[in-house]
Amino acid sequence: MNIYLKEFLKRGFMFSGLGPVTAAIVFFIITLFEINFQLSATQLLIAIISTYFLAFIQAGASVFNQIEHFSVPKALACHFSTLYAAYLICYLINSWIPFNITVIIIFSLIFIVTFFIIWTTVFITVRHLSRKLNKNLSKII
Amino acid sequence: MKLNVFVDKTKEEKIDIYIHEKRKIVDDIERLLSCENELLGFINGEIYKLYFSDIVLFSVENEKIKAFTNNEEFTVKERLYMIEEKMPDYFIKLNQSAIGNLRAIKKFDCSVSGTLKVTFNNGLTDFVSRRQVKAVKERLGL
Repeated sequence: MNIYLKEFLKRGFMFSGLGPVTAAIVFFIITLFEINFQLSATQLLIAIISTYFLAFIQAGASVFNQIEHFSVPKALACHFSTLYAAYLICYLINSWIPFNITVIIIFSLIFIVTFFIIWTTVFITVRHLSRKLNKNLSKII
Repeated sequence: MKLNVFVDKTKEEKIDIYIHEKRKIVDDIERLLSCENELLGFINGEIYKLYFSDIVLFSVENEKIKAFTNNEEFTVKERLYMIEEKMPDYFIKLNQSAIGNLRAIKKFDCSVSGTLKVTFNNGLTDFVSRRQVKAVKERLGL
């Protein structure tokens, strides 16, 4: 089996359980503010299964960034598009957003902005750390 | 470089070296002083004696432990935890499957995934896992 596929599956299965747990926490918080919030058994089942797969893909997709022969833009594009597709499908099948082009565009914009804010923050933080480490490397004898 | 040798049974046996920059002689002295810092490496069934100071990276590949020098790749029998027990202090665990030689690190970088990427002098790369970032920072005086 391809090592990257193996790593994708490994990471996916390792963290997939967090999806339904996160969904349950979100549902719990919603009930604190919206007393009439209710879910049918079918809705709950769809939410559990879809968030399980969403967490699976979210965890596994990070492997794109470690494929050595992928350029930075290609790795980012693969990571981004996989997450975007997974989130969009999950939101639509759970009816968390309506199947409406305007709403989907707004969702997409929010997703893009959030993705790049998180990525940029992490990237700048680690780059700053790597510069500090490089300065101290010469002290190692 | 000056060398002074004093035979004096009342003093502790020790060597202090003051140099302006790292030289090969330091590696040679370390080899002489620590015979236990040797490993056996295998290439196609042939056995080679390896010195820690020559090794750039230990890494797990296909469930085998590989020792990379500047030019060669050896398979070693020891498990990573066994290497950790006897490695010199200029080695550090980078992640669950890699131990790197700090002296052989060319640079740290940020990878596209936001992890700390390590590039060695021989061109090999690996990454520092989030769990090991603290240890690497401390080892490098941060």
